Formats: sequence, C-alpha cells, structure tokens
Amino acid sequence: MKPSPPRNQPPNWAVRFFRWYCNDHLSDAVLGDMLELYARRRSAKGKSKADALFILNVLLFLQPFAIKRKSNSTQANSIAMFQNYFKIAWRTMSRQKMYTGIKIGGFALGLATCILIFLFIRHEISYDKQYKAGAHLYRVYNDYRGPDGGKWTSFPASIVHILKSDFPEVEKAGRLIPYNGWFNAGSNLFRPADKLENSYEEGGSGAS
Amino acid sequence: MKGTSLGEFEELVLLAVGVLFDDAYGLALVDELEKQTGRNVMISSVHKALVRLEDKGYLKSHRGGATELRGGRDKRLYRLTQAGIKVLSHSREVRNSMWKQIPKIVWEGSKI
Repeated sequence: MKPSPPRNQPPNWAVRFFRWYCNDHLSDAVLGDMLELYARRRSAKGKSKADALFILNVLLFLQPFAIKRKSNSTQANSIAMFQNYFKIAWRTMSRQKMYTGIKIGGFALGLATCILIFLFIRHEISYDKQYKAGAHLYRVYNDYRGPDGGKWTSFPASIVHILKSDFPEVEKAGRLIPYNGWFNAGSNLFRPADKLENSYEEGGSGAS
Repeated sequence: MKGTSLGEFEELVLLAVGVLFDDAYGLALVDELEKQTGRNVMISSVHKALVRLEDKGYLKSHRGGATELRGGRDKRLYRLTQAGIKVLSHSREVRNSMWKQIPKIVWEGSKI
C-alpha cells in the first residue's frame, strides 16, 4: 500500500494562467475556492475528471470583471498626453497657416507622385505578360523626324529578311498593322479552296 | 439610476449571503445556491455577482479563514451592508404588494 500525497494539485499551468490574468482583489480567494472544489471533486470523481473541471473553471472565470487591469490613473494620463499632443499640433498649425499649407501640400504632392510612379511602373512591367514568351517579344518601330514626323509600326514585308540577316538571334518576325480592316494585310489568314471560312497559320516567310 | 437595481441571480446571492451569515464565501455560496434552488451554479457567476454587489455597496468583504485544503489561501468573506438589507426588504415589499394585487379569480381559475 502506497501512501497518498497529502494534497493533490491541479495542473500547474492552469493555476499559473489563472494567477496571471486574475486581479489581486479576487486572485487568492477564488483560487482557494477552486482548490477546495478540486479536492472535493478529486475524491468524488478521480483525478482526470477533476483536472478537466478545474481547467474549465479557470477558463470560465476569464471574464472582464476578473481580469487584471492597469490602474486607472496611468491610463488616463497616457490618454491625456495624446490629447495634449493633438491639441498642440492643431494650435501650431492654425497659427502658421502658410507653413502648414506648404508642408501638408508638399506631403500630399509627394505621396501622390509616389502613387503615380508606382502605377506607371506596374503598368510598364505588366506589358506582354499574357504571352508565354513575353520576355522574348520585341517591337520595331519607325521614328520619323521632320515636319511630317511621327512614330508608327507598319513596315514593308521585306524588312523581315534584313532583320533576320542583321540580327541572327531573331527567331520569328511578324508584321503589326494596327488598323482595322486594312484588307487583312499582314495577317496569316488564308482560305483553302475547298473551305468557306478563313484559317490562320503560324509562320511562313512570305507573310512576314 | 444605474447600478442600483437588483437582478434575479443577484438577489439570490444576496439572500444566500444572509443565510450563511458568518461563512459566506464563494464556494459555500455555490453550494448553498445549488442546494436551495436546485440549479447548476458556476463558481464564476457567483463571484461575478459578488463583485457587482460589492460595487453597488450591498456587500462588504474581508479576508480570512484560510485552510490547508485551500492551499493556505484566505477566503473572501462577505457580509450584508445596511444598503444590502434595505434593497432586499424593498424588493420583498414590492413582491408582496404585487402578490396582493393579483385578483383571486386568477388562482381560482388555475384550479379548474
């Protein structure tokens, strides 16, 4: 026969958790109550059940009325401090309207510029993302200077041979004529003699 | 006025504090309330009511009565204040006078 320990303890972490959150007014008295109840339950229902019920008690006690709080005076002080900051800031700003205007306007302008730059860059790097080899796509364009100058992308079809001989890294080339209904020029559409509808085919140096 | 009215459970706790008189602390009140009402009473709800009632001034408390079973921790023993006694008797008067105003026909009707 082995001697039973004089007093059986509930799980230590639960006790420590309770002591941590409970305020001083209740802590000792309530913990005493809970231990008394625990001892009673333990002899009636066994250790595991009493442990579970003790933990449940600790958790159910976690309510606003029991929770430790910082003393009211310090709380009021820190609120008063921030109120004071805002009040002083407001008074200084309304005394120096010109300066405040420049400062706030400058901040606003800077922030707006930053956002615009961000949007611009995001647009730039989103280019050609919808193609699998988007990083390999390049566009050649005319930059014609002079009185009738301008920029455009339509080239004579034979340019492709010059491109391919001058730049051997060019794998494929195609024409871009961004006008609607320009006789389907530059497209790779064709219609076999026995079909009613047009078909599309990739490549083909004649159409480049 | 906020904070002076008595909830149903608070009233039961006040009465139990009166009944236990000299040994009214959390766990004893739980036992007493369970015995008297037959409800399942949580230790946390009793303590919550006690804190509220002490705030309202119906109870006062002191520490004492530590036992080995409680890990040598003090109990918080509660006692009714004059205001507590007053509010209890007031609620009893209200009940009594309202009981008297219920017409007899109500009770007779329930017998049929």
